[in-house]
Amino acid sequence: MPKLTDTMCKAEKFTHYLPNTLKYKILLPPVLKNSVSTKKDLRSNKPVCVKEIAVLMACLKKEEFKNNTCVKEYLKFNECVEESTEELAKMREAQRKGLQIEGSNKFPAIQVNKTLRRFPQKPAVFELTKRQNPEHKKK
Amino acid sequence: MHPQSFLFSSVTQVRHRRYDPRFREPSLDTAELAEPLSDDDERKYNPIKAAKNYETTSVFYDPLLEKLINMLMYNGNKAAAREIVEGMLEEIKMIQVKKYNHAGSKQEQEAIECNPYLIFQQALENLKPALMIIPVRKGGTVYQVPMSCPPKRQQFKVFKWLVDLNRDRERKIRMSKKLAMDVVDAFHHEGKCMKKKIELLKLCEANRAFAHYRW
Repeated sequence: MPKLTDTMCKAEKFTHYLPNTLKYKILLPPVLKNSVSTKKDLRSNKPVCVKEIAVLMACLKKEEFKNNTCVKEYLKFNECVEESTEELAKMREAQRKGLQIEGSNKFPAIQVNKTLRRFPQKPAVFELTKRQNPEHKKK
Repeated sequence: MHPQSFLFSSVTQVRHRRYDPRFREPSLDTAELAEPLSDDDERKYNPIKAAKNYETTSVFYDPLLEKLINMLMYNGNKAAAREIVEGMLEEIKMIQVKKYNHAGSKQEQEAIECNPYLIFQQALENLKPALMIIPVRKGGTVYQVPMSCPPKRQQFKVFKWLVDLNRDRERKIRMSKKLAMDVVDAFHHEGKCMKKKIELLKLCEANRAFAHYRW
């Protein structure tokens, strides 16, 4: 078996080329907020009226986008749009009242925010380094 | 309860009116205004916003025409914008009456619509697009996603096309005439604005695969 002592001793030579520690730049302070986003509650994961759009587009292409054509497809599309706006209105009402939205398993964000407001995080305290401290720069 | 306390409850902005949410819109219906209010009617105790200068209870008041006047207005010159729109209605009438007088038979004459207000309203309905394109950013690229166009947005698009496309046309023709020609064309499903609407629908058709990218 070849001796590795020589290579191990030589390997030590190259350690001072590499940094010992990783430099990590903190762009945003790692502080938790005392609230949760309420927008995601209103987003349903189902794409709305996609079929109706596809059918309408197929008909329009067939009729070369002439006017007064594809009346049936337009009616169906408008019905679908009306339904989706009604559903969105219901979801908004439910969110406003703080109730759970039908069809989603999520705990409503507004209620989460209420509890978080009651038990907020302690305000974070940061120590600025010499470089970051503006008073140090003035000197 | 002094109405001023509602108005100046918070910082007032320079160009927009910002009323307290309790303020109601004024009614422009003469029948509704003539009716006396009972003592327990909410409207008696709620503050009401001031009516805008152009809002009247007149028979001739048309909110769509007022919207067109506002969108046509440039540099705050409302008088000029109003003149242009009134001229547009006159021009529409002239165009249609000319056709009426040159019509061959009585049947043809009856088919020609001479009421400029009706033509304007029908033209707007013809120009309204059912779909619109929204840019959606997904995975670094921006996709042009088609989605249904809500009614207010439809109305806005139609007025914007009418105004912008006619501003780009030849300068020697009066704006009122250009608008009138475009409106009459739109009534018959033709013209530059109709072309713009069809272009939008074609773009939606081309991007129909991205319709599910909305979420």
